[in-house]
Amino acid sequence: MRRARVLIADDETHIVQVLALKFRNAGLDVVEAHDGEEALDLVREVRPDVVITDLQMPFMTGEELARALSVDETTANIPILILTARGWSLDEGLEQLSNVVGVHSKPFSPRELLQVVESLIDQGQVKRNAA
Amino acid sequence: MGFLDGKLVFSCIMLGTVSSMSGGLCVAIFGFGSQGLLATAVSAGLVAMIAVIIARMHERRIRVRLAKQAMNAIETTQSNSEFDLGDVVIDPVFHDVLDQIRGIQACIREETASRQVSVARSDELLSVLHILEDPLFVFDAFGSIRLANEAAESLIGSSGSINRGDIRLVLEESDLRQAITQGLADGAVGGLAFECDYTMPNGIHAGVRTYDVRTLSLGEENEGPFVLVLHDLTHEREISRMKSDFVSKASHELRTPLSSIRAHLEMLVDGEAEGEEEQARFLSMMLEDTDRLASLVENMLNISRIEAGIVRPQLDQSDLGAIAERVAKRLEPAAVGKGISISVSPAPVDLSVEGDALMLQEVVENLVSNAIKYTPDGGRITVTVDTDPLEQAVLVAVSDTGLGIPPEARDRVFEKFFRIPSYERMARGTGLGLNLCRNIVESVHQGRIGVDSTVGEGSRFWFSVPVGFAGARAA
Repeated sequence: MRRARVLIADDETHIVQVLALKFRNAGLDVVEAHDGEEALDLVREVRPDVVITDLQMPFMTGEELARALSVDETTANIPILILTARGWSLDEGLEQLSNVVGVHSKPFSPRELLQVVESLIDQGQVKRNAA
Repeated sequence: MGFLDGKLVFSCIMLGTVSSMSGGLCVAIFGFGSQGLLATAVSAGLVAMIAVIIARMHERRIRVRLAKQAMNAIETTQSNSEFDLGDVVIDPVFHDVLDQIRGIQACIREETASRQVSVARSDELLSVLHILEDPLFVFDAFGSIRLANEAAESLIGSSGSINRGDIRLVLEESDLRQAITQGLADGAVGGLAFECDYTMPNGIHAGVRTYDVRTLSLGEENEGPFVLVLHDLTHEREISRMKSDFVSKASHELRTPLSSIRAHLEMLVDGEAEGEEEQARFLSMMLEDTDRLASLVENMLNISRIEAGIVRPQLDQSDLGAIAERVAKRLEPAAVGKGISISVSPAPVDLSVEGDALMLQEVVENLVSNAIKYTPDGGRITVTVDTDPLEQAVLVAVSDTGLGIPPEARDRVFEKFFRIPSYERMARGTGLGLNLCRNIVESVHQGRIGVDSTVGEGSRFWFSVPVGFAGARAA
């Protein structure tokens, strides 16, 4: 069985690097992206189990990424965690996207984020095993 | 005698005199006392006849005079003049008429005074209504305009002299009709925000305006007349949106480095950064983010101070040529690290301006620093400083061989937190540097700042500052 894979998308290199280290230390496979467009290409290519994305990124925002993934049936079931530095003033459209399973406000705790990611991976494995 | 006027009394005295004289005359005529009775009788009859004639003449005069004075009183009461009968002594038959006239006169005087007060108050209220900035209409129960203040008339394109029916037509044809209809339908409780894409009657497109529509019924059970006031919320909404947008962007910029610092700290606490090298890398990232945070806070505070007009520039003769050379020398290591060359070409003339040297150095530093950040490795940066004789100013220009700025972004690069997407991959910034530059140049030094650019070839950021300090102003 392959290791669970997480894709991290953020234009802030420091955030991507520190999260990547946290998840790799936890035994996860990590793929890094630095803007929305790169993230979309990589998701289609590597099919991660969970996507963690910043909301405000160049070329394609986190919301646009989530929307693009939700309308593609091959990626619509990938759970997405949103990181945002804009407080809780979220767009209503974002909350209506079924693939967005959580929103975490910056600054966040990598420790807590890892727990959420592991929980989502477990749920996904249970679903896959049940299927 | 009391009922006769002075002239009548005088006439009667004269009659008595005439009577005595007549008697005397008769005695003189008839020559003897035995004939006195006849003479007296003739004399009395003559006197009586003359008296009646004179009395009637006076009566008639009095009647005419009284009638004239009464008419005059009624006519002149409106100008509040007194109905003065003077020393006229009249017959009791006129007393009732006179009392009635006096009563009428009192009523008219009272009514006139009351009306004058009412007119004065009405004029005051109209003046108040006309100076109101909010358009105000008064409609009758059928929806016709009974009153429109000046703001209302300018909104619907009418003047005070225009036919009210025309105003109604204009109103019905305008986009505001819906607002007013809704406002009226909402009744006395009123109050609804209404947006309309409004074109003024003079053809000027006012854009999408937001009005708060409030109505009040002056009649019973929400029947007319109605008062309708439109309060333009467009500017308030725009300011509110800008504030919200600023807070949101500032929050993002503050939280981002803070988030990185917190995450690295937690990793260090959890012992997840193994080895001295990894730990040193973590500390280095935290230091970088701390500097970024400090720079952001400092820029925000400086901009706020300039915008609030509370900055006091330390005026001195600031040599912009020397400043440019100092900045280039200081930033050269960062440029050399990317293989970028920096050259400074100050013109061989006096390049001093009266201004705050530290602030002006901040501007040059920001422009050169940006050029280094966004110029690809191996590029070239040129700083020129020269006088601008036409404007009595000194012009500084920082040219690079970078990506260039798309036309649609050129006006926006000086806005707070604006970033060109294609630049974000190259370097991080606070998003406030160019806005601070604009504030320092334009608000503090009354100068000009701008950018010329060709995509793919590079950009030329420039600013000019008057030689003599023209005085700071609030942004």
